[in-house]
Amino acid sequence: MTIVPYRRSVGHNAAISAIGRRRTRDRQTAVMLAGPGILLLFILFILPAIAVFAIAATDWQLGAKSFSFVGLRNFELLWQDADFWHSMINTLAFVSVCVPVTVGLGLIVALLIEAESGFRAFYRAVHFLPFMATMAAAAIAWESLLHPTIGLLNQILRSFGVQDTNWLRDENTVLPVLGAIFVWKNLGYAMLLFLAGLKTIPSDLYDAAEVDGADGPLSRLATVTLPLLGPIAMFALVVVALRAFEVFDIIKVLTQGGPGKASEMLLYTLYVESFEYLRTGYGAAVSVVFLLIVIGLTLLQVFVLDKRVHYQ
Amino acid sequence: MASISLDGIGKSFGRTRVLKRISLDIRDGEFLTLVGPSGCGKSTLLRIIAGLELQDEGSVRIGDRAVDGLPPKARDVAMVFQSYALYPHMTVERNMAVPLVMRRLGALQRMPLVGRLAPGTERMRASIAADVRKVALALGIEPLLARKPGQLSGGQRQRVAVGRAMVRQPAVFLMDEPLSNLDAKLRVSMRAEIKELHAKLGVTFVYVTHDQAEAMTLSDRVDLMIDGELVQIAPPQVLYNDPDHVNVAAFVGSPSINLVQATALSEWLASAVRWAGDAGNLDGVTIGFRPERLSICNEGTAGSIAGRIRLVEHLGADRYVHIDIARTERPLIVRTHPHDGPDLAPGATIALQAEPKDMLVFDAAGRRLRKRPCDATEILIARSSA
Ligand SMILES: Nc1ncnc2c1ncn2[C@@H]1O[C@H](COP(=O)(O)OP(=O)(O)OP(=O)(O)O)[C@@H](O)[C@H]1O
Ligand SMILES: [Mg+2]
Repeated sequence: MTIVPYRRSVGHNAAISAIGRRRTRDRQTAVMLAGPGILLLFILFILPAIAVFAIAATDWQLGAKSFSFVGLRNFELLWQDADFWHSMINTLAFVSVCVPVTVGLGLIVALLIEAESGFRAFYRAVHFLPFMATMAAAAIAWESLLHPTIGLLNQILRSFGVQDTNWLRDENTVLPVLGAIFVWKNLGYAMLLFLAGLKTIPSDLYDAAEVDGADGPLSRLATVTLPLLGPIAMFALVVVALRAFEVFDIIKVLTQGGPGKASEMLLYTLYVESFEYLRTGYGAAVSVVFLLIVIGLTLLQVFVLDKRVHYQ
Repeated sequence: MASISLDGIGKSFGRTRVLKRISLDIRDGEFLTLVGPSGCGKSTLLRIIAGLELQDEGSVRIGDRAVDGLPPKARDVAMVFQSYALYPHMTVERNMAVPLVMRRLGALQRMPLVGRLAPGTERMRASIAADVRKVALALGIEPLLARKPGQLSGGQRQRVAVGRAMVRQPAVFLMDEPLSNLDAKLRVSMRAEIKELHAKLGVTFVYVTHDQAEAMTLSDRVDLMIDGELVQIAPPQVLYNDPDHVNVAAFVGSPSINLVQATALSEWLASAVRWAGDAGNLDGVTIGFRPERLSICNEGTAGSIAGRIRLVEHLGADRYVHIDIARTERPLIVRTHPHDGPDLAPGATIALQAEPKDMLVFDAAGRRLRKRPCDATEILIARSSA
């Protein structure tokens, strides 16, 4: 009789220590599995980000042997720099027009492709090709299309009696043209996202809508399709916005920010400041602004929009 | 309220013929259940009645009009889907309001913001909200009106789906396996609620299920479909006691009917039904015994067939005894009361008896053979002398 509780408590302790051992083992496994990823994340993203923040607080010039800390001086300069603001406004204008247009057109094309039954794969491929193409190569094609004298566009317009425009050298047309190229390039991506999204809508919902009386194309869209594409649309908006903020290659290849600074945008300014004027500290300050925008967009998606558009 | 009449409905998907000239009359206010194994075309038939699918041949009448050319919304039918198909982005209230909004408001009035300005919208919206609330109260889902489907349990979603079907007071309710996503207990209670709902509304219900308990308990008539064909339409009791086809007999009833090749029973039949003929005439004939229509007796009783107990299952009120008899592959299952009959232990040799009138006789094609209802004796005797 006296032995039983004693043995029981031994068993009890043994169980506790077994659970403890198992916890330790679980933790070790977790570290082993996540460790490499975290390490890589640290080396590839967090360290550089910290470095950028640090460099932004110096007056370092690329290649210079010495530098000194200047605190927020670079940001002050940035704040007063009309060129930076010009570039910022260009970027914001570019983003605020191109993103809705790209996503909107992507949605429309996806809906049209989904409604069509015959050549679905063909249309999908055609629209997705620009996204797969290297921008540098595609830019050359665009350059020849837009060439003021021998370009196809002007030749066509000429036959309608429209005067020649030097599309990439005119400060009134350069941004819209770059915007159009951006839309052309990213449309397929948005379309693909929407096509995937359309596939996930249960056909029962369309049936229910039909029985309920929402059987016209527009009321179907309003009752089922668009609301259910909400999460995808959100994702597409953020991803395309990120791509629009970091537009660089078309500027570098086609305009170098010109004419004047008419087509300069944030990432291009960053590049010029850092690698042409070698003002690395100042360039880093631009990077910080850029990073904040990107982080802001991401947080917006994670915390605000995700909550509002997910249903389950 | 409306009757439904199907006339020679046929439907193929590509090369597969899913429905084969189905004709069927459903009375006004009737509760008709379509049952059948998976893939036999029940959903397809229901969707054709709803107008979600177009038939290749034949015509559908609801009430006194042919509805073949009409879209679902004009057919005055409501449908409850197996998946419930609730709009995930809308609250329960808005979900239930959709059929009314689509009917009572014009396109302009339905628009967000702008619609508010159109004349009469406010009043319409208020009357819709009142109607929705009334139905919600009746179904006991009023506290859920502000929630979204994602925040509801399966049973609650099911009720909302029924509510959405009810709000506009359709003449016909179509339900496609509405309970199949619920757990067994909830299914039984929702089954009762659906029956009450039918009694209360008094409109025509067409209900698809492959749960025979649902079919048997709910329906005025059950329509058994196999491979795109109607095999038998009858009240549940008739389907059980007097099946037209061996498939019907096999589908209805749990534990299912014992089907035995008549040739395996020829000696027994000679003594039990005084059948004295050539065994060749029994080729292909199948005899069915309901488990509760077989009785266990002592070995050697006149007119009985010997067997050996393989297994005894106790189910509380019932006891299922599995009995092997000579020349059959599967054991026969006998349903007895726990205290009836001799002591039953696996391995014991006993004997089985059955009344001739309880034998269901089917020919090689599976069709029921009956001269007069349930008179197995005469059929067998007639065949043996033929
Ligand atoms: N849209 C379709 N395209 C091609 N075949 C289809 C389509 N819908 C149904 N079928 C086929 O038609 C047959 C009948 O389908 P149906 O959905 O009516 O069966 P069911 O009796 O409702 O089965 P279950 O009990 O599994 O729901 C099946 O063989 C199915 O594969
Ligand atoms: Mg089905």
